[in-house]
Amino acid sequence: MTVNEYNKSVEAYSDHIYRFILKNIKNENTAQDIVQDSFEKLWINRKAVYFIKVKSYLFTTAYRTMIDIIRKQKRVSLTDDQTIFESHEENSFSDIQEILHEAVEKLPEIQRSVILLRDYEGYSYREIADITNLNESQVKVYIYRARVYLKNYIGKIENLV
Amino acid sequence: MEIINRHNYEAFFLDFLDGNLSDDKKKELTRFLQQNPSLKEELERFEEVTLEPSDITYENKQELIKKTQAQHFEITEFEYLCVAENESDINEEEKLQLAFELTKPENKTEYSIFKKLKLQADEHLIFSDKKNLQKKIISINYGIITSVAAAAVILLFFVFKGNFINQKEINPDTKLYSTRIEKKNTSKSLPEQIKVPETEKNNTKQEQALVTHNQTIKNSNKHVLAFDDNEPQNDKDLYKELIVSIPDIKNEALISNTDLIMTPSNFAEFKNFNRNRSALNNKDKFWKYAEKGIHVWKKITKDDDIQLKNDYADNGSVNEVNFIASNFQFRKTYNKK
Repeated sequence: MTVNEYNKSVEAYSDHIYRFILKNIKNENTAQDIVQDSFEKLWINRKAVYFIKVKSYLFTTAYRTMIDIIRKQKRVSLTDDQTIFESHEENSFSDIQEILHEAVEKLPEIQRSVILLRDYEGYSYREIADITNLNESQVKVYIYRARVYLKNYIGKIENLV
Repeated sequence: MEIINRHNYEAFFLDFLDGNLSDDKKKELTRFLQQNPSLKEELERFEEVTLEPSDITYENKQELIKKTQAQHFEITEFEYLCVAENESDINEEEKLQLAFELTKPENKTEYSIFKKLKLQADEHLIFSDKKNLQKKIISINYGIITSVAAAAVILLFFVFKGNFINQKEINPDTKLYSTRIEKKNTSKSLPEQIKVPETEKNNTKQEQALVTHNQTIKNSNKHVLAFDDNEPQNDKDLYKELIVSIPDIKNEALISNTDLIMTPSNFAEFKNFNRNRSALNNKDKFWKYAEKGIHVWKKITKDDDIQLKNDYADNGSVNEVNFIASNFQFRKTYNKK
């Protein structure tokens, strides 16, 4: 990969990675650190990374860095435990996307990551499996469960409203 | 079935016990038993050995049962169908099944919620530090590469020659050295004579005298090479080895002990370098490349001890070359003004 291609990657993908990480960990500074770290690793390995594979490389690196940080901080369990619904009566939502993003925050970590990759970036099950180091079947299960969770969350909100 | 007799009655007995005999045959069997009372007892023994069905059951049936996709995902069948449709992961059979499920009014609301579940990225969230991530691109063209190469050749040349001259100077047996001693201070020992007092640095007359009479001087800690057509024959012999080693410079270079400093204005001429170079000969191109190369070299290394300044004629050809390094100073004249 050339320097020019590297710079194009910064323009094209830094926002996407930043959003993906920020939605996962809700910490701007850490999200920025992870983006910088990911591009630094890309720069170091630029001779081994083809330009067409850059996006996947960056998301994989960023995701795994994020997981390492989360594990160190022990803030979020990586198991697939379902989160208990909280009360939403105090919230007023302007649109369905706000509700959805609030619901996404309550998903188990792994379900949140796969559904963000699926909806934000349009990745296939195979690509998500490569990024998250899962197999395709696991990715599909997590996505289906996440969708049902979101549906139940929205249904509950609509009932409350 | 054939008529019952003493040769085939067992088959009739078994069919009777299994309930496979028709009413007519049952009547025929009854008549046969009345005619043969001994066989009636045999039939009764057949009935005694009949096994009753067991009530034993296999307890691990659940392990053998295969889960449906919905069960595997721990969601309902309808939820599975809705998600599969949204994910474009639904087959024809499942489409029909979903269509059937949607005929039920209670499923329509749930289905409409599933249709809204696509997350959209917030475009306002941007990574603000892109500029720091990007790397500066240094474009290197052929001219610069050639320039640096030429500069490197010159630097290597002078480094090598500098060592050579230093070796000559510390050899007390050479006439070159003794001649220079006489000019500077005959009363001092060799190491002391090499060190020239700072007060002499700006003494123009003394330096001019050295220029006139010697081909090699040491001044202000700089070694200066010089060759002059007017030098005495015996002195020329002294430098024979040195002159032979740098034939291109023979009879053309002059002594200089003047500090030459390249200024930005010196390089302004090179803005037209590429435009004019086609009209120049190889010698002029070489020195222009070298001057540009050393300029780049200085920028890269931040080394101000190396300088190369050329003097150009109006037509762009090189009149004079001046090179200054930390230990050397060199001037080469091509066209005297």
